[in-house]
Amino acid sequence: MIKNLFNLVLNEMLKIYKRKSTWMMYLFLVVFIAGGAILAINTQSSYSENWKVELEEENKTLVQEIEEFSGMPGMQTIRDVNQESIMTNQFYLENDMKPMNYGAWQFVLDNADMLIIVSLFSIIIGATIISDEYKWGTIKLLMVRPYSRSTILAVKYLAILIFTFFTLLFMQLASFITGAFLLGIEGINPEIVAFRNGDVGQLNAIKMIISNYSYNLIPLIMMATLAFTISTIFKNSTIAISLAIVLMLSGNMIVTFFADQSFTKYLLFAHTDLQQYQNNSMLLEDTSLSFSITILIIYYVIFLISSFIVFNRKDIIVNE
Amino acid sequence: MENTILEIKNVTKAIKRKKILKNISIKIPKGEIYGLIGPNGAGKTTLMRMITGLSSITSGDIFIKEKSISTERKRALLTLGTIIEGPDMYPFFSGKENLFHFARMYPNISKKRIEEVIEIVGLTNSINKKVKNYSLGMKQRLGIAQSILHNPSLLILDEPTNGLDPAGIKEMRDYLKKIALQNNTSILISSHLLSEMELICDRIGIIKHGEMVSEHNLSEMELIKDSSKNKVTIEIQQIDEAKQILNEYNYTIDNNLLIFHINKEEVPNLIHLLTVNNVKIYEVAYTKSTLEERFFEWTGGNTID
Ligand SMILES: Nc1ncnc2c1ncn2[C@@H]1O[C@H](COP(=O)(O)OP(=O)(O)OP(=O)(O)O)[C@@H](O)[C@H]1O
Ligand SMILES: [Mg+2]
Repeated sequence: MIKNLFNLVLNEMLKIYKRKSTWMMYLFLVVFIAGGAILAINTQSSYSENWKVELEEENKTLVQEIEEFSGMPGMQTIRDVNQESIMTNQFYLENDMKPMNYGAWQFVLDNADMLIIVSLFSIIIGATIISDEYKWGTIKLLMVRPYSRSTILAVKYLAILIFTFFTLLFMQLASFITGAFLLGIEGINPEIVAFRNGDVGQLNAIKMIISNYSYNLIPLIMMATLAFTISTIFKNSTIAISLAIVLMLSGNMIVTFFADQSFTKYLLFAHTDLQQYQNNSMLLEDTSLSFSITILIIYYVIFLISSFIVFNRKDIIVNE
Repeated sequence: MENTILEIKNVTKAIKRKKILKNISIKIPKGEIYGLIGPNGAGKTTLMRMITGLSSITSGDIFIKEKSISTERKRALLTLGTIIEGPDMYPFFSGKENLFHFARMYPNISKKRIEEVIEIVGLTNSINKKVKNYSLGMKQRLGIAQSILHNPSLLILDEPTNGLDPAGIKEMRDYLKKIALQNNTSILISSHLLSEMELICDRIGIIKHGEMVSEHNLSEMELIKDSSKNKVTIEIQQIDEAKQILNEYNYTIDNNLLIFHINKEEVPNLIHLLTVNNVKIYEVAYTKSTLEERFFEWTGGNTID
């Protein structure tokens, strides 16, 4: 039984990784990561013996920028970023610590933002894993095997999660290796000075990497699941991919736009970023961590149940 | 009856209120090769899709080795192999990778069995090529390979000879006959190649407009009984003289050919009658009526509607 299930999952993984298009995705990731590392080399600030003076100079420039931008609403983010940098610099000065050079760990940590690319890949796999079988006509050969339709669908869904996990791992490894070569490593388990919860502190780099990536994983899984559901229902990967990507990119905007409406707090996108509770940067006022988790679970279950119901009910017709 | 491998019981299929199959019942015993024939759109593929669990059954039920496809799906499918609606395979896998893919979905199919099947369908030389580079016939052979991997007791083959070359058709016919005889595999096959069906099937069922028109045994006995449909053609010159002697026979005249529908046993008497009356016979031809000729008789013509 377990062996059979393992074989089914193995089949799905082979179908994903035997195709050139999958390796093109990985190639794209590598190029992107390498590009990011090269950019980091050019923009990273390295400090000399005189690092205290250099830090103070930097802060002055940052303060000047904040003043220049004050009163411009569009520049709020830049002012926030500058404020964070100033506080971080002050932390170094107060604690008499020379700032570390930007290295591999920091690079891996920052690349958590690039999970949006992994999301894109997971959405594509999620949206095509069923519809491709229809496209190739192999769905009928798959469905005449001694397994329930639910088992076959569940295995396919599991394959999406495993693919996401592998891709994530690949991305972190590639980031670390590229970062190590191009930027250097500062120790096996370094502490990173970082801004969090409106305060600056020293944090363990690996812990931070795990937490940052985990938070980013939530919207990723939700969007891949949504793509999978739409594609199972409509047997059409184009609709599924476009809808998932559009929603992913515009989610926050929609929530901000309708922030004063009562229905907004039931929208999925008001809750995909759980980091908002850690950073005290809530999108909406009247939500809480437990409320967000409840909403996420409800959406997730609805997505999965509807795809299972539809997949179990329909006749398998290839040339529709 | 434990000898029945496939039992189709009063099956009806309706899609959007339109009845595509009406009250079909078929029983196929162990080791029988049963042919489904009928014009385009008759419902052959639809019936096969229901047997293999791809389509739901509107009313009635289908049993494979007494397991209902609707309520005991997994156990019913364990012993079934099929090619349905064309030989589609994963294009980015090689032939062998495709076979391994499907083999993994059954318990205990050995590598040796996979090699054996490759040999049977004659794909040894191209089994490592990617399927996207296969010809239609090669894909069809691979389709047959995946359907027999797990030694099923029931094979459902929808137009399996489509795209095969004459050698391929003959090899497949021989192989299907062999597994029916040696392994007692029951086979339900559909095809538009009636001459082919005649050579391979023990029994045929004729479907038209979603209804079972008739079932026929193709064993020797049955054919002899039906020999009034066979044709004897005699070539002579003296038509007028012949007419006078033959008033006890039913026949038609086509130029200098006399055409009779009689049993083989009556042929010597007929020839004797003509020769003693000095009618010169140039040629006598005896033709068994083919399945094709009878098919049109049974279905009432070549039209779809
Ligand atoms: N999904 C569907 N929706 C509506 N009608 C359908 C559907 N599938 C099949 N039909 C109809 O059912 C009838 C039987 O089709 P089927 O494919 O079973 O015929 P067939 O005997 O296999 O024909 P052929 O010899 O051309 O393969 C046809 O009239 C077809 O139009
Ligand atoms: Mg058909």
